[in-house]
Amino acid sequence: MIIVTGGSSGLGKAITQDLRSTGEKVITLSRRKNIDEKDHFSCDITNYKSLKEIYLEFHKRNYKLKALINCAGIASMNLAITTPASTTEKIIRTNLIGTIFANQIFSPLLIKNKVGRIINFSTIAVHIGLKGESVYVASKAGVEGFSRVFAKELAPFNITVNCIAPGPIRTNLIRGISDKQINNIVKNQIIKKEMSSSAIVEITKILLRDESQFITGEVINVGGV
Amino acid sequence: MTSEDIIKIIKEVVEEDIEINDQSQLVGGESSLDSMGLVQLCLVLEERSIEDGFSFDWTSEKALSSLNSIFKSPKTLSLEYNRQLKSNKK
Repeated sequence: MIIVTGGSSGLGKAITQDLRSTGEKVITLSRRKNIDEKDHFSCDITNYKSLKEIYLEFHKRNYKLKALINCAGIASMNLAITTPASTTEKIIRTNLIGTIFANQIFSPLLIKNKVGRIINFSTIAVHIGLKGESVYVASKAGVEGFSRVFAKELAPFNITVNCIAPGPIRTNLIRGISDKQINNIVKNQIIKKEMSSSAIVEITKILLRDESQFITGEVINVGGV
Repeated sequence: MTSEDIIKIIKEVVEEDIEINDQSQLVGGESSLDSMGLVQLCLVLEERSIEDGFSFDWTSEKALSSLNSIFKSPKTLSLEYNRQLKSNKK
């Protein structure tokens, strides 16, 4: 079984659909309710207690976890000094604290198996450092730092922890970003082409493979920096 | 959960018949447990707690305290386990 947070929209949904098409059991966690699907749990990933309850439910059902993929995230593009305090807190809580909580709470299910994969999502903007993305970049830089250290803590259990840092992909996450801003990011990539979700799905599947057991603590900047 | 139960779990986790008593340090310099062993100990205690009808929380502020850490010794860990068991039965 694989858990995908943020699995009901955007990249998370693309990854979920692809893995399910290969016969994998994928459980999605997201804020969305009323999804008519038995393998979906509605929750707020910034709520430690609600994630813990889901973990205990998985434990009760004796689920064997193979991988945790953390796609849940939000974005808001503003100059740092014009970003409302509430927006700053929401971005840090969802992108950084929510990702840390999911790693902390669900990793024991991997530790018990003494093997597994954790994939957290960052952004190529961390490396590029674009104006107007300071808070978002701060949240994702935190995810990268956490992942590098967590990789060391889980290595004795044969669990790898990596980050995928995509360039801009036209999903709801970046619906507020203009074409000019997207082009500005893309021209900073080594491969100066916009990527689609399918490129990220393929990289995710590479990291999930047994052959990727020695790739850990890495940030894969997709498109190159 | 007695101190002896905790010691038995620790010996199973480290897979050695180590010298340990109910006052032995569980984290830090003199500990028989490395970080991997500590994680495994927490997971075994969680398994036991679920069997006992609650979920053992090893992430409390107290767990991190240098003076009153629940991981100070098998005895302190046993006391904390039993405290949580009792408070969850209320």
